[in-house]
Amino acid sequence: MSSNSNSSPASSFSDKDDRDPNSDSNPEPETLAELETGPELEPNASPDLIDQSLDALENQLASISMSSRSPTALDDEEELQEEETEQSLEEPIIRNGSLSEEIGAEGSINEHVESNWKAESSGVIKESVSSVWRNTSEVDEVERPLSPGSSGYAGERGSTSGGDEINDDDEDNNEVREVQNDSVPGSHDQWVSGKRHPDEDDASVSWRKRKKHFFILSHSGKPIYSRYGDEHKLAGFSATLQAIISFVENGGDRVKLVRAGKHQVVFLVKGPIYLVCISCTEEPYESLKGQLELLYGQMILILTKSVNRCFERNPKFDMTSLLGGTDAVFSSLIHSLSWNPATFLHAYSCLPLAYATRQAAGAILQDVAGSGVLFALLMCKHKVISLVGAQKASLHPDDILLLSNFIMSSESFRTSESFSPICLPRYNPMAFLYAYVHYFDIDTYLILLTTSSDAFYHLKDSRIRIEDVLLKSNVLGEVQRSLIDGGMHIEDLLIDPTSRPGAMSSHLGQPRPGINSSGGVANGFVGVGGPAGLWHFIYRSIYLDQYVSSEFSSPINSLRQQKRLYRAYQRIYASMHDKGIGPHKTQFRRDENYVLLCWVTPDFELYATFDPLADKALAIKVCNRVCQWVKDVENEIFLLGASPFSW
Amino acid sequence: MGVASEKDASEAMKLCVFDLRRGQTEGQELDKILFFYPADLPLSTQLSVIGLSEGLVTFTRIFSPEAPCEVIEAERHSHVFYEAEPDIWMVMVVEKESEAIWRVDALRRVLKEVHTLFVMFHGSARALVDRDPSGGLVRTHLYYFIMDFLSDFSIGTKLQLPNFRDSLKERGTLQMLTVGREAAIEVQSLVAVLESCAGDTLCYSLTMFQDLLVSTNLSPIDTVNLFTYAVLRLTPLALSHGASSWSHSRKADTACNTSTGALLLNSGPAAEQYYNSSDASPLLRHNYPLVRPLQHSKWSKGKDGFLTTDIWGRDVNSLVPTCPTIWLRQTEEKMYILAYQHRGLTVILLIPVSSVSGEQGIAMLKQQILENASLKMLKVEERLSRGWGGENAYHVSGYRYLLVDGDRYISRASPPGKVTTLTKDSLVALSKLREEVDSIKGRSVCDNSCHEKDLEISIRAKNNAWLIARLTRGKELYMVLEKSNETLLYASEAVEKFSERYCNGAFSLD
Repeated sequence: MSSNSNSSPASSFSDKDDRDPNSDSNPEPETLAELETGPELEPNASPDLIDQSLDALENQLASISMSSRSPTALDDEEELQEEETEQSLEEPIIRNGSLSEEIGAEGSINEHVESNWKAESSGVIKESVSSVWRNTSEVDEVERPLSPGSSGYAGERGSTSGGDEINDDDEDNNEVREVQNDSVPGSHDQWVSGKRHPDEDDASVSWRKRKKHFFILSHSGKPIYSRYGDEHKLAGFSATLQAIISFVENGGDRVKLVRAGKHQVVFLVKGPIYLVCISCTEEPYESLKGQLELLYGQMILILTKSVNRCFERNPKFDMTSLLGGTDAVFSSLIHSLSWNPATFLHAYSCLPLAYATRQAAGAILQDVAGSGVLFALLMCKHKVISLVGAQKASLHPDDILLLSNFIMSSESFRTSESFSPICLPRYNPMAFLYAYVHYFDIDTYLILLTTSSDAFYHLKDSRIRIEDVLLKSNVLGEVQRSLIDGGMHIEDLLIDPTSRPGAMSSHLGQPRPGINSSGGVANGFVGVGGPAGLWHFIYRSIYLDQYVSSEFSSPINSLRQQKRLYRAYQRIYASMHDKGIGPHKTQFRRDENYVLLCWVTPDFELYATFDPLADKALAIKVCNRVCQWVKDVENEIFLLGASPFSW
Repeated sequence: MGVASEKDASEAMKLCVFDLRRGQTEGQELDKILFFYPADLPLSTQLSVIGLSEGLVTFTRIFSPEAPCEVIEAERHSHVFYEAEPDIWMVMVVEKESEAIWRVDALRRVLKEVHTLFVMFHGSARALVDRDPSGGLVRTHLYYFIMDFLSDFSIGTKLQLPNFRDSLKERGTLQMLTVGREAAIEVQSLVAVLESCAGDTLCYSLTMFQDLLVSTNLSPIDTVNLFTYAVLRLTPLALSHGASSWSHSRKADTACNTSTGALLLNSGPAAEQYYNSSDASPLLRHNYPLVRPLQHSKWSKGKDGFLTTDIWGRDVNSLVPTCPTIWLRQTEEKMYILAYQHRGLTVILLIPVSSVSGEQGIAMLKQQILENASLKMLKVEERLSRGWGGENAYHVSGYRYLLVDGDRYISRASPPGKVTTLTKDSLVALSKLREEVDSIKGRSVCDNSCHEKDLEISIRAKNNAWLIARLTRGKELYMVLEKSNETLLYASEAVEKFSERYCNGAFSLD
């Protein structure tokens, strides 16, 4: 493997048209230039090309779970991969021509890539074969004691423990659990990550009764991932799913959905990867399809889209090994599909902070972003504190979601500073970036993304500079305070807008008055359970790609109620954004649980929940007040001026 | 009507009926097929449609044993499933194109309708299979019945299935005539007289004015079936147009008859080929007494005012047409149908076959009715036609609406002529809204929740039309308000007014 790593064939990752031959960051421009004449290569050379990229890929994966592994483990890994290389050399299938064709098809993605990135990408991938390894293992040696036997994934810790049912998001048995303190931010934290019920298979009654299954399989029907049950035991079931897809495909069509009673089977075909969701959760088709897209994106984030080449080379390729140990990443993503509005709004949320505090954080990130950092993100759990992109580069909210999910669900990132290859599927699904990740405290972490595989020490220095500033300006302290205070509490609407402190010196107008303080109740305007009882709202700013969701409060106390409301939002979102005829402008929906009012304008979308007996006129008034309130505090709840998705 | 046009139709829609209890051994798969449209499709294609359907029924039973596969949505086609009888499935495959925005439930209701009508005339498909295990009997009956049924949907060379333009209609429901108190009393006394004509035997009647139901003492299910048949073939409009009537408005009425003939002519021989080639049941080898109740232009009004047809054959000796019969769902009794028509009024009398002594008995009964009731019928017709406001009688200006009473299988809607003034966008949006409501309703059925769904949805669409759906206590109201005010309060008020004035406040909030 190492003998291959210094040659350039891995350049097949990049689009030759996009490469800047003058780039000095490319260590072997001449060789690359030769390779750019791809179609002229003798056919025999191309399999190597593919193998190279595959090896690179497998190595990335190995390195992901590297940081806590002992050197001996490393050696084992290397041997295994060498075997893989030899084996694959014996079965070259793909010609160079078809390869470059596929790359050409990806051209549109590459267009978004910054020019320096174009120049560097080939070099990066090529080098990644060894250098990433080196980096991570060096990091290990330097930064922390080795802990052999742990691959670093949270999912491998006690995933089979008996008590995990209570945290099963889509099952009913957890739904009696009440949250004691409604202001606990993210009560979903109690959820346990990792594989569930690995002992089940499609013959088990319990497996069949699971409310929501997710499957990833290959086009030859080989299982890659299953939310419940052991993938290997599900081989037969997986083959059935494959048969359905290919049967319809043979008829010149593509199956999207099968409905049976309360069950929906949703199919998504992504080249050689098939994704299937079987659900009786009453979520709309569009939502489930979006969830499969995210699942696919998460896979791409770990592997890049070049994993497709594995299947071009060997249709029966078994991908489970590539994703080994990533159960926790997928299960935590699937979990977030039942509580995190970002998954269907395609927007991100910010941690509420005083404007000056966020400015301070943004300034230092901006400082760093100039020097070889493509994106710098400071995050607290799944919320953004600040983010900065290098010139013109922009980050899609879905990428933020998938990246933060990957980092938060991988235990290794918490325990040491890490440098890991990741792919941002919306940014460039074909290529790896390198993520430097460091946790400042248990919730707050920094991500520096770069295109350069040997930037570890540089980024480490940058992090130290950032940490310095954050400590001096007490940003981290403010973050902790914000976590305790929470975001927008609907009780605060009680305050008459005119009497609200203008300077917003306190957090979002806090300290909050009690429910029976004067003003609000006297107005009869907002009150829990009252005629215009506002229960919750989500406000999404179109231009900022951000949303803010009010804190849950009475009567949306229990996890069960929160999830039901989440699903109601999901449904009304899908209903408002119908692909053919949408978006609608307004929707009022009353059922036995709520009144939902949705208002979509070119600037924002508002989703508000009221008591089911709410009066329409009052509800409309309250919505207007909510919008005004959001505008009043937008400095604190949104990251302004970042506009990460506009170029 | 060449081969090409036939192909168009076959491209657009496939419909099959298959029996999962048949053909379960390898090589015998063809035995499953009881009906396939278009019949000239290669057998391999037919088998693949049925194979996919069967596969998905089996697959979905893993997770949803009680309610297996209902629909497959693919990029280019929708496959709509309906388990008509245990293990007897009907599957309709429709192609998605620009005008073809379907509501799955509306398509399923088409399948349901053809099946319930079939059972009304021929008894259950299972019974026919059991009677002739070779399958010949059931295949022959299904073939002619469904082909005759489908011909009603043909426009030019294509089959026009219910699509988004029919969003303000509900198939399988009754449309009622609103009658005043005095008219109601007169109808009541007419029914009493008719029943007395039948003597001691228990008989049923169904009185219609134009295409609207006036009164009946049949069970709701049988009422819907007989009403549907009457509107298709018996009412004055059906008789004059051969197929169409204003309440089931179909464009290009005149094209119907010709294309029907062509359809049958073209596919007839193909079908015979198929039945011969499958060799399980050569169509022509058996000499089944074939009754085609949906055949066009077979009903006519006799001089005595009774409607006659030779669909059920003729008496060998007298050449008098045999009196038509149907099966009642409720009592599983075989009944003679006697239909009397005077101008807009159609009275259908159902007499148990067991209680009448053949054709002679029928003739005597007719005589009795003519003597005792014909005058009353004249009077009733006169009164009803005086009170009737014509096609647009139920138009409410400013509103386009559909009102459904699910418990009683009754619906009322804006007249089709008025619905066509709506823009395509509004109708498509309404169709999608109804699809969503259908799935909400479906879920509450699955839950077996005893409390009926209460729901209010008002949507301001992109084109500024208000789309409204209301469900309450088993009643449904759908509405489109175009060119209306922007505020939600305006829309709510409009619904409120409508509810107060036309629905006895059923949809009012307080």
